[in-house]
Amino acid sequence: MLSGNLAIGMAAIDSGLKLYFGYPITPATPIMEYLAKYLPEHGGRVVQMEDEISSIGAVLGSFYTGARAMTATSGPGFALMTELITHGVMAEIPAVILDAQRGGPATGLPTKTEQSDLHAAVFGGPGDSARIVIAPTSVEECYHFLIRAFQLAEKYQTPVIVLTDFFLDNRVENIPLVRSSRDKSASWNIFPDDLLKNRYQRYSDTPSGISPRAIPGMEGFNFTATGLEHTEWGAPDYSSENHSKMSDKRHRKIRYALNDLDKPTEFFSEKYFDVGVIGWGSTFGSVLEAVIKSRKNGFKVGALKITSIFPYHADIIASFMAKSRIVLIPELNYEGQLANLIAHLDSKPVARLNLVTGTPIPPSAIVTRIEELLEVKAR
Amino acid sequence: MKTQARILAEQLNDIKESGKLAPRSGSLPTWCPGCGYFGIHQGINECISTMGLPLHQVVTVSGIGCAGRYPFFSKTYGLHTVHGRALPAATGVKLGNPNLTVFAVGGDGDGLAIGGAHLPHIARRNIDVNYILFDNSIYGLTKGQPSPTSALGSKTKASPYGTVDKPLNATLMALAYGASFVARLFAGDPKSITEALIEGVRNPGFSFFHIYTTCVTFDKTFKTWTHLKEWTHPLPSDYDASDLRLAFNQVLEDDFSLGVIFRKKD
Repeated sequence: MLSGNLAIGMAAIDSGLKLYFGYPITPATPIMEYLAKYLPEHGGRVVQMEDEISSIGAVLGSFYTGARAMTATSGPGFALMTELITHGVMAEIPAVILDAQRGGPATGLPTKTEQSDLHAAVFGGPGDSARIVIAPTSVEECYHFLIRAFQLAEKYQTPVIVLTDFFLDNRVENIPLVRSSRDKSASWNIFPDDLLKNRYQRYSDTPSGISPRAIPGMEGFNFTATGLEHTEWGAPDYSSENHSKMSDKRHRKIRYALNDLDKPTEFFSEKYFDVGVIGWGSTFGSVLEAVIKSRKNGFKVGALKITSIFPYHADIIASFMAKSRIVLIPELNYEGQLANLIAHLDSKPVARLNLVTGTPIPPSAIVTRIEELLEVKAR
Repeated sequence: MKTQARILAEQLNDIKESGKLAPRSGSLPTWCPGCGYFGIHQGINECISTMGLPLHQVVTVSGIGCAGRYPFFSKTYGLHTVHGRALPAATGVKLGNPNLTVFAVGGDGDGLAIGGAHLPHIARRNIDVNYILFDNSIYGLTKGQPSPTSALGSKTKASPYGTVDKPLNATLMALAYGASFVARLFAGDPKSITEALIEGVRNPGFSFFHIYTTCVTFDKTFKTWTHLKEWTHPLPSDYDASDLRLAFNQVLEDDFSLGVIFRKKD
């Protein structure tokens, strides 16, 4: 019997987390409380910081030295973190940030569930600041995704945002969780070769965009990590050529990260669907149940689960959309934030089901919407 | 008889061989000629050389501002963060790898305005970070706006009728927040900066260095070299830095006495 928050706490310990920095906020606080109790016996520690800005600042400082660190927050705290998240993007410092979404905007509905931080997670902050965003759909995925988040952050040297929500954090699932061994949670750090000693370029422009990352204590690799635009050496440089080149390097790196990100999963794989339903996060459970029910009712319906929110597998999503006569994206937000992100992948308009009830989407609402869409089409 | 040029060349050679310049990067500071920051830079470099700290075991963390550029001018590892956030990042660095010597540097705007929320907390957590506040009472990089330590009535382009906000006293704040080592120094005296830094680096907790310095470009009236030289003086000879009450009294009564204001006894 596990809740999403408990699974995340266990994953943090199993990934060898050294430092947790956080500030109390509903619904993320139970993660901090769990780790405050259990992390010390595994050699780590929890520091309750003065705010969310200092929490992410300390996470970056810690990862800069190579020590795994994380923070967990919710929308209002995440908003405060965005400047330093983009610093992680620019200075290429790993970080793991869990955003347990709740109703928003502003203080919003602290004890209600919503999926309305997707735009903030993908785009929040100044400048072109592509980062990795992943969203588990179940308690078991909460566990595995958090461990993977540390590895992605290390390899791609960028903040990785894990999006959960109030419902996923608190719902309890009865699952046979196989806890990861240490080699499964091993570091994905890419350190510079000794050959580069004394002529080390921290931000070397490579085909993948990944530059080997030195950490303090390594002799002959001293560099300054900076949020200013910089050359491959790390020296500030605002020239047109340099900003163009380095922006491309950073974005190339994030595109390359798709190789390590879970592909969307198609359920009831067929050549053609009358309605193809795309789901993400805690909503996907309702999507799957609704699709099963609609198929029993005789409708030709399929489902696609997306967990890699950014970067996303455009080709796979596009082919699912192309073979669905109608594409439906149910979400717990008013604006249709995933729909806005991926609607351009197909020429026809995407159908939406947006609820901001503060409660999980009932499968029946999706079933009704599917039947509505098919009746409208039939006329 | 040696020529002047020969004497200078020999002096330069002596400095090079002494290793005093070793911690200094090939990138020359972008600060204005005559800036007080050069004196602070010298004080920090001498501390690193004198203590024989391996440069790859030292991290200099900064925020934004003229002082924020500091890590680029040093050969240590550097972490140049965003405005006001040097102290949280330094906290992460020190806890991430406690074997590193960590310097945090920044100006009065970076540390007392936008980053003002962090000083109390790093002090009460007593993280072993050496925080050097370059206090010139003005925003230099943005070309001369009043800062939290500008004197009441300061006239700048952003305060043409004079400021109406009272200045903060950073030394007093550090004492109140419980810093375990507090020194107040002057950029015109690098030797004292070095001495205080050496003691602070050895202090296994948070050490705060409040350094009065100049902005030769945007402040021609307040913290000028002439004024600072005239105003500053050493602490009384019988001053006992282990007495917190005495430290408060000293700082409340005299803004310009310099030296180690407070060192916590074990």
